[in-house]
Amino acid sequence: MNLWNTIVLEPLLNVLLAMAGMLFHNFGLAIIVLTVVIRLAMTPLTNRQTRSSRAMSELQPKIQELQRKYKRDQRKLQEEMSKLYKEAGISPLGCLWPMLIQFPIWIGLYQAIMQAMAANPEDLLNLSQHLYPWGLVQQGVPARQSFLWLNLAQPDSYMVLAVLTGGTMWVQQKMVTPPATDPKQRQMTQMTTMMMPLMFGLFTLQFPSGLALYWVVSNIIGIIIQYISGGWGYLRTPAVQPALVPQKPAEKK
Amino acid sequence: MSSRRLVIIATLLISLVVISACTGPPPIRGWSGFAISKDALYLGAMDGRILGLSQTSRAQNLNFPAQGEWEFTPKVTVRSSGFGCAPAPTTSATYGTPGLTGDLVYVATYEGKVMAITAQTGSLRWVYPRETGEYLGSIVGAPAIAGDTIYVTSSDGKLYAFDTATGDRRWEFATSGRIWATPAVSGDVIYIGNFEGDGYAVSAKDGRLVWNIKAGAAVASVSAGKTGPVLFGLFNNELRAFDPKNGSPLWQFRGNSWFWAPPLVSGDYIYASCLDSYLYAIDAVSGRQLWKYDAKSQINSSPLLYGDRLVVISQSGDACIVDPRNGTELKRIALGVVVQAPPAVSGDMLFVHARTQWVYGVNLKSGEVVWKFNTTPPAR
Repeated sequence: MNLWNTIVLEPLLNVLLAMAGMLFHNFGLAIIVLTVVIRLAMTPLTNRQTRSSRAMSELQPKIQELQRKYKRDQRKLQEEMSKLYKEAGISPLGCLWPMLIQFPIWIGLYQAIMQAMAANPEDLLNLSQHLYPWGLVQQGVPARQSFLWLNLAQPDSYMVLAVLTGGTMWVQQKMVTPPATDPKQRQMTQMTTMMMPLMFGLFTLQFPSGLALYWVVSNIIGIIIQYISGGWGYLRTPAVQPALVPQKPAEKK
Repeated sequence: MSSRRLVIIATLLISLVVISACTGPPPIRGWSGFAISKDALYLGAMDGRILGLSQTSRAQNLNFPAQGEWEFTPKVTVRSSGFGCAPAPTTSATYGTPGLTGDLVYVATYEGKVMAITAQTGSLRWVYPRETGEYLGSIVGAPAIAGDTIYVTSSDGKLYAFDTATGDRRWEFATSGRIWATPAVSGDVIYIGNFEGDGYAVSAKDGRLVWNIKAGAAVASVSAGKTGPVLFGLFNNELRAFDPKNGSPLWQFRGNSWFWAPPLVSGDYIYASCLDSYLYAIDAVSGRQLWKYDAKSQINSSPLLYGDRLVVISQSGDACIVDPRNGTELKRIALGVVVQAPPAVSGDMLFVHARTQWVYGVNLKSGEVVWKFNTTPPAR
């Protein structure tokens, strides 16, 4: 835990507070700026993840064909799949590891925001143990909790952030999630695309709005990055592409 | 990406968020110190109850509540409920040391209530706010009592004055930021400081502004002796002294962390405990450091006078007796428990409210724990 604090949490926490010190003690603005900076710094990883996901989805018809062909011979299926991935020049884990690298940073940023807000005396006393002796950091403590209509240490009572969090997350997911051909898969994908924004929207009603602000900004930056790299992606694609649905041969009359 | 993988990633994401959120910092419990009257000790327990203890009964390890002891559970108003894993608060927390005058114990809670409780029986005499739906901001500092008025600072940025006998609000003084520091009363002036870095001197009689200053950073603590400067402990690791008459800056002293607890002013000396683990002795006139004592762990509470010696307690539970002339350690009593609450001294006894929710009675002469009491109620 101490290693985690030293390497991830404390640098993020102190940069966040220093930013608040620089930005006229505006902690909301500091959350926005740090989220944008980190999101932009991780753009190469995000792009790589998107590219891998797209390549994988393009291979889906061929993979399904192989699965049908070798459904009784698992070893052969594995061999053929490996060959297919090799020929296409992609790794099946290619879309997973950039996400895994980003995870510690997002978790760290989440913890940093929660700690920096120091909503109660215990948190504030605990915060003193994680601060660097920088003048700007000391000027940023304790974080000012009011931002626009929000108290950053309290959930947004107007539920605006809940709608924004859910909405932006849905748009972002829709942009990168390819429509599935298999009805079962399609159902699961649709469920995931709906469930995640819904759950995060509900979390927003319970968690400090500083954290929700970070989710909203992070989603918006994600949408912008996706848009620049590939337009609206699958957002404008119908849930089921007619061309991808296997057609039954027309009955002879 | 296959839908199976999507589901796995989604589940992982949701689990991480839920785990991070639900295993966050521990719930608020408060860290009340003690009000002492002869044999009686009054404190806010960490489960929200207010307790009246008898030292004699605790030393005899009698079942609680023994003769003359009581517990009072403040009525909690649930302001909002929510979704998810974090439950709405069902108990209040007391951070400030209770006040005591006449036959009443005064408690201010984080829930934003000020209460007067009868010292003998533990029955509620009055509570403010009176109406349901009316709230003060969360109260972190201790109530300060002068004459027939009790002064309370609040997270809503206000200083309130109440009649000690009836709880009627006499006046209020609004500032521009949250106030967590206990108000300091000296003569007919009250000194307060807020998180916006503003320091104020306010007339104790009618709440009129006497002077105000920019302290230099957010204010963590305020202290004022009968004579000498007004002191503001700041979140930029400084202790700043101002002239009590007009707020002119006198000197500033820098530690390596926050001066979280109000310094003790004794004659020409200032004894300031700091979260950097040092107790500093400072010349009240020049602001020059006279000596410093290393308690080996952060000090969350003010030092206390014990005869002609000083006592401080560190967060790691070491009670340290120090020579105020040169900072020499005379005795160190290790309790081995985390302590964030201010201790209290009465005669040769030191009382400590540990994070474990146990209260310790320690004989400072012998260094022995005479009694200890678990404030958590037994399962019923």
